[in-house]
Amino acid sequence: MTMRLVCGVMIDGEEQTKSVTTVSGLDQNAAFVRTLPGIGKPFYMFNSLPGKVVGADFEEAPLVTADISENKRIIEGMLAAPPIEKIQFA
Amino acid sequence: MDLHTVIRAAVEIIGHNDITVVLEDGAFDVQSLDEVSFPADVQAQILARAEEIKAAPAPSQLPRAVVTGLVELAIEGEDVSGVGTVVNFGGALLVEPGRIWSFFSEPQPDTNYIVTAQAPGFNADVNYPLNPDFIEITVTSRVSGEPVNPPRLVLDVKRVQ
Repeated sequence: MTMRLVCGVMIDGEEQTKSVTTVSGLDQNAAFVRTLPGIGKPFYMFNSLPGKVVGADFEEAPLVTADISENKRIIEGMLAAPPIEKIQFA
Repeated sequence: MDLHTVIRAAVEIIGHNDITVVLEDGAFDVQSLDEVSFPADVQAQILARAEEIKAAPAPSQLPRAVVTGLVELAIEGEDVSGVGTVVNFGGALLVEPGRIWSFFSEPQPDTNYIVTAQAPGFNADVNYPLNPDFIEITVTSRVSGEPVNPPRLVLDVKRVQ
């Protein structure tokens, strides 16, 4: 089982919005988002996505915190009400 | 000769450890617990064995390799669709066709690690320099040499401890 993290990734000096496949598990993802996208950066988390991600509106997106339990709470909220309308698909 | 080695040799030769080893005037005397000395030939045997133990090379202190990252990625089209056999794997993404980034869940302390990448049926190359946070792999077709997304990619990360 996997989960999908949508965030900005710095690739060749340019930030691109990417869908990252992660292992399922709230605790693991709550810790991992501190590495990608990193503390203070916006992100979305989903159980699955319907297509290829080409962009996302991060204006009101939650930000990764240094606190794993806080990140976990944020992710739980997003899984309960997936903010799919914020994602642009190909 | 040191007392510790003589005791070790005496326990081996006598077959039990109910013994006392006494050092008197620079000579070792192995005695039973009721302070009766073992016969001279046994004493000589013990000393000979102690010499052998002392002369033996020290056990090998070869460094050990430890797996600090492992993952099997399944790729369908332009998507990493599955993840399995996981050790310290955080997430993976396709940067562009044939170029894959795989993040550690806990970054490596430095870049002194070795990655083996396999994509059965394709050429899979780890791109250098390495990064503590993630591994970049380029996969190409063995026929055309063009970058391509393989259906399966296995990464094995080891460090020396």
